[in-house]
Amino acid sequence: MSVRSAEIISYYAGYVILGTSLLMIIPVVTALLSQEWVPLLDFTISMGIAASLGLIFVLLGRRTRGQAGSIQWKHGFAVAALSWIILMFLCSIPYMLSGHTYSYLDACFDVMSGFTTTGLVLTQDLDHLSNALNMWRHMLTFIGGQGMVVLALSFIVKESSGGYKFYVGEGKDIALVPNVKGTARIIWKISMVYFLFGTIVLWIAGLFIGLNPASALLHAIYMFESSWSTGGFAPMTQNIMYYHSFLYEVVTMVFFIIGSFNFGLHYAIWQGKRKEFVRNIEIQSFAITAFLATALAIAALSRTGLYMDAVSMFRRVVFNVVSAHTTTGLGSVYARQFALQWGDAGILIMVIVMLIGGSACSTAGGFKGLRVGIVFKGIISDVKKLLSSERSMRVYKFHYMKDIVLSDGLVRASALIIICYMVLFGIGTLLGTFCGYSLADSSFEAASVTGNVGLSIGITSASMPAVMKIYYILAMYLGRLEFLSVFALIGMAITGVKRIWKRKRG
Amino acid sequence: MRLTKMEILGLLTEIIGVLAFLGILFVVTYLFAR
Repeated sequence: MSVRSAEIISYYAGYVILGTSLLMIIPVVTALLSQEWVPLLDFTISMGIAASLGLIFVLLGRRTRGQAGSIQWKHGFAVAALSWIILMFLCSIPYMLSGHTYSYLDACFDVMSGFTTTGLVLTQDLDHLSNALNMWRHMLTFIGGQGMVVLALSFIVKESSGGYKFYVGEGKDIALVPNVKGTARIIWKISMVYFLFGTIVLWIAGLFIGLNPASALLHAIYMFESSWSTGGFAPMTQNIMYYHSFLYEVVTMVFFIIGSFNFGLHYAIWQGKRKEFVRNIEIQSFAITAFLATALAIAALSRTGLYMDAVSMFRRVVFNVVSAHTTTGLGSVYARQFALQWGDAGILIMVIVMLIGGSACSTAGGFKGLRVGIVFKGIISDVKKLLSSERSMRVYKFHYMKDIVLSDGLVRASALIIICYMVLFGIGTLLGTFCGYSLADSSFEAASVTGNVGLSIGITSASMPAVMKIYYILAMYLGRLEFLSVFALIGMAITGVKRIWKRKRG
Repeated sequence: MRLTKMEILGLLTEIIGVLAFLGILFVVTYLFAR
């Protein structure tokens, strides 16, 4: 890595840190309104540290100011990967200061879980968290879902050329309009419209179940942010079960399913291309896999006699399977119920859907329905080619916003990412078994972190080994950024070290 | 932030589409739970 590359990365990463420090104003205001003076101090200190560090980074790279045209793909990838790591350390300061985490590692775990929209929690005593910290937790997951780097750079940095490379670096390979700022604004418009609509609907649902108006509003904001970003955080320890409400569960289900859709699909439908809703390969893939997984899970669990009627089965089985498939992680059964009551078939179904995940360029994780669809179509086209005459030349296509030719390169790229996810999942499972957990438990938890889901079978707790906490942080991070950005950052770091080494020897 | 008629229809399409899908899943659940 050259000095110039380092300066470019420092400059843009600095802006991302500055942008995120500005976001701490929201929990500060929440603390003021709620008269929470200690959290107010926590967030003011954290904001000061984050803003100072961001400023230092920007100043270190100030020579690259106004030269956005010189940004290369590797810079976009490295800025995304580096910013996420630095932000994890900075955003966990308020957690640590709150006294609700046993260690700084636990705080970092929760922040990475939020950023990556995973939803696993190591924070203690959620029921007595301040409003400010609850707002911060849910904001992190909401912003992480839309893309922090994209948000910061689209709205703070003036130059927009080269911005698309940051987009791709953050795992959002999407260009709704030629201008990257325009794309960011469309994404945020869609999210904010849903935010207003969803918050109102959940607020009304909260009033119906007896929450007082102020509390219902805060719960509505938190639960919408969590659902839309397919995050899985909830303000109370019992997660969605706290509300004891079928209505609340159905409303959150609607929003986390919609949240798992590609932003390109939302835009196409909002532009009047409503047929896209049924023609899109990702929607078809999701509908088929979600239907099959739900039907199989219901068939497996109906034999056990656990859930006696359709409503309770829908609330426990369908909710959790769809929550896992969209990588949301809101859970309507307790963690150990998966292990003790769902049986091997139930756990296997959950592991598969958690790994598949939602749509590409959405807030969801997993290796994505698009890739499953492409690889599946690739297999079918290969079989058809084998069966057809050797002289015939057929072009196979799939529909993803427009008709796209199914090339070997596309199938290969999709298969490679799926293999990377499977390796990450395999190592996680192996690590779990090495640390003394059962194979079923280890695979469930590994699938949950790899797919950025957030459902737990009981392994994730403050008492689990530190090595597992660190691996889970890494798995959430790699799974969210879809490997390439992190590989690019590591590659650049190794090149930089090699250069320094050579200079010293030369 | 102003929404056009087309955008409102798009939002409703998504919500109704997802509700319809959940309805199908409920029917499947009901058939198994009988």
